[in-house]
Amino acid sequence: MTETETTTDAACAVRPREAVLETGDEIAKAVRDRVVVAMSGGVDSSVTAALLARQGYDAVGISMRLYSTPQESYDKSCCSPDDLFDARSVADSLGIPFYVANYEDEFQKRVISYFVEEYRRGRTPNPCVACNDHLKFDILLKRSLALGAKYLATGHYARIDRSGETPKLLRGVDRNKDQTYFLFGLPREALGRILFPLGDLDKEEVREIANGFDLETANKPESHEICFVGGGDYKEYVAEVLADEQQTPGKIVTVDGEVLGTHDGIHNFTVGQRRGLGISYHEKLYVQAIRPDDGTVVVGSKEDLMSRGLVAQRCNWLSFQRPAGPLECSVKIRYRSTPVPALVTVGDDPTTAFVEFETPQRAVTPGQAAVFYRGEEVLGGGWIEEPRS
Amino acid sequence: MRSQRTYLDWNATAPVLESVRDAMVEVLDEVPGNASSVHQHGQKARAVVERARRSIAAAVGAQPQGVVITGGATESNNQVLRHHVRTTDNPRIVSTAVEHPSVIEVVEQLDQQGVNTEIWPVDRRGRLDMQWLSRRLDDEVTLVSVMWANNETGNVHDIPGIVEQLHEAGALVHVDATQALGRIDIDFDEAGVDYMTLSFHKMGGPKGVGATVVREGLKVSALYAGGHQERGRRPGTENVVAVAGADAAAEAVVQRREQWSEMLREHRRAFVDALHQESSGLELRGDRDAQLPNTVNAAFEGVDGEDLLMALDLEGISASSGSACTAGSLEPSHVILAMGYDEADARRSVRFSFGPTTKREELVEAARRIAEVADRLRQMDAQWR
Repeated sequence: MTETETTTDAACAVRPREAVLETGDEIAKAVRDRVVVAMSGGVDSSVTAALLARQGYDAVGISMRLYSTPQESYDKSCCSPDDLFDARSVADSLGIPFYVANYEDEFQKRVISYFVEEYRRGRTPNPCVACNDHLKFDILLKRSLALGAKYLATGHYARIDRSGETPKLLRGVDRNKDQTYFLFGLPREALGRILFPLGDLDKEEVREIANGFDLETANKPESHEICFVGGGDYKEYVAEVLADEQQTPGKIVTVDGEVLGTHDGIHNFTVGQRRGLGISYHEKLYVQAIRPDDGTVVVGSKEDLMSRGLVAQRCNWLSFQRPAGPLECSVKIRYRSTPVPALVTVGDDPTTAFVEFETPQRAVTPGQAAVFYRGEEVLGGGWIEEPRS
Repeated sequence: MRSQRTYLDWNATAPVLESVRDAMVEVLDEVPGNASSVHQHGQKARAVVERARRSIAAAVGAQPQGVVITGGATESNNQVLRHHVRTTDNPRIVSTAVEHPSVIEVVEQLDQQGVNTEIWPVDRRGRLDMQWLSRRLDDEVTLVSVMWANNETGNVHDIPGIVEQLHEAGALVHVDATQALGRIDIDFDEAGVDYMTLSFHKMGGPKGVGATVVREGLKVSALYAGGHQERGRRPGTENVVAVAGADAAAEAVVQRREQWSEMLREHRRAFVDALHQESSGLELRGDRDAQLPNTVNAAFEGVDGEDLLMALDLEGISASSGSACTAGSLEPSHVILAMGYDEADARRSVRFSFGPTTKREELVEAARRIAEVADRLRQMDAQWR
């Protein structure tokens, strides 16, 4: 290395316009906007980086280090040294600068602690939403802008429509992969600063592109688990974190008040759960509600699980500051379900929404998200506080 | 518009000197032999190694027979510490809280194996607590491992003074002089050091070669078995190419060290002045009364070090902070933590280090840009919600 090496690669802060045009590729942009790509080491974010670099953006890869994994199990989930290694080698093959940002403290506070606390309170958390809200589209977005980037890009399957006055969040074209459910909490003003290059693609196409670019992550299997639990059982994980005195044991009772048994802690239960109740009964039983104050787990029949509506709190509106009046839209109450028609109303405080389903819905789960759609557009969403019957 | 990058991370590694490069290329081209072979090919390689041994000894004021050429400072630190434990009854080792991991981690490992070890603390400016040491000297300490100069703060320790005190108490002294070589005067014999560790790639030599220097009358044994090289003290075929580079680097130290030190001091002054002038909320860390002339450890109020390093890198300035973990993210510096800063505070530390080929104008311009970027990041942080 010489102390003043001439830089012609992507690490150079400002590039002469000619140099960009000379690269011979079909580069639409004469001025190279900088974009930070959140790279996890998976195929989606690898393709995101590849597409943007190819389009002529001044792409910069950043991997977030969110937690430390013990040596013996470090290869089981994302943001292990292996994943960061993959992200780094993809960035290297694309010729873009790459950094690892250490967000362990924030992740612990905003995601892991929240996750455990929700279970302790008898709710079912959604750590991916929390991570998007507090890590990716907050501190990482801030860092991206501080690095002089115009945009932060991620490999989410979602689209942003920039044709109107203000950008709109739209569902990903691949309905099976659409990840807007996890994105309802984005700050509205951030939409203009975010790119989702995969929103128009389906997973197959993404893999094809990855193979076309010869990315080494092209055939990496998808991860479906909660990343920091590392392939293990999340209930065991929660139980381990909660000291014995923090666990809430209690009774299992039917909706009619009949006591069927006891349990070790409410963190083991999720609304709608059927397996693992540890009781035999003449009909199939489902968890209908969890009462954290006395540790009661209420079980009932499939019919008892149905609700006519819900209350959502800490709502975030993406399409407007607040709904102008009662909102006819569709609502999605868990990631793997289709939006269903509903009427949404807010009072004086637009962060609390009352949702009335057109037809009753099964297993409305406190702690999960309720996301509001109109056609392709994501109007906003909130956190489910409780079902309404 | 810039086409050049500024390299301010010499304490991590330095650009290779031209004379080093030439010497290595010459050996690559002309000296194919094994230094242990009896034929003339071998003799020529042997001559390269022995010449390097003399140059290295001359560069640090030691005797050639006391120089064991190794694969680098990490190896040498391991060699000295483990040799001491193997050959000493009731070893009791003291090392400082600001040592390089290649000392600290070895000491920790030895401790876990039952060796008596202790960590010598520093104050807020990173200075060694001499009173702490004098209180420990009755405890039959057998070896003290202390670096000549610190890689992160640039602090220079009073090695002759420390040696004097320890020898009175009957303890041996091991000095890791990796960061001091070529930057300040180090005289092994005059200071009375017992063992010394050297590396050459921080001042213009190649990576992967270093030396263990041993005082006359003391021994150091091999870390592992497998050959008689280096008088049985470092088995394995000599890396003659790298050794030729070390020779040229040591040669350069002999000829140019004084001139380098003076120039670095001036450059450092210009850099620090410019930093003070251009930036707000600047805190310089370390012992300003005894510091390497090439190292500046700076913290900017309200600016995270990791943020600053990334932004500077994209602006064309290479600097560093703390050490990278396996995953490649930055951990707060154990040196700054040892000085009593809390974690968030330690994360603000950024290290700028330079060398003889860094130009003065380059440093002043870098200081201006560093200040600019730090200001931008601070504002950004303040405005964010």
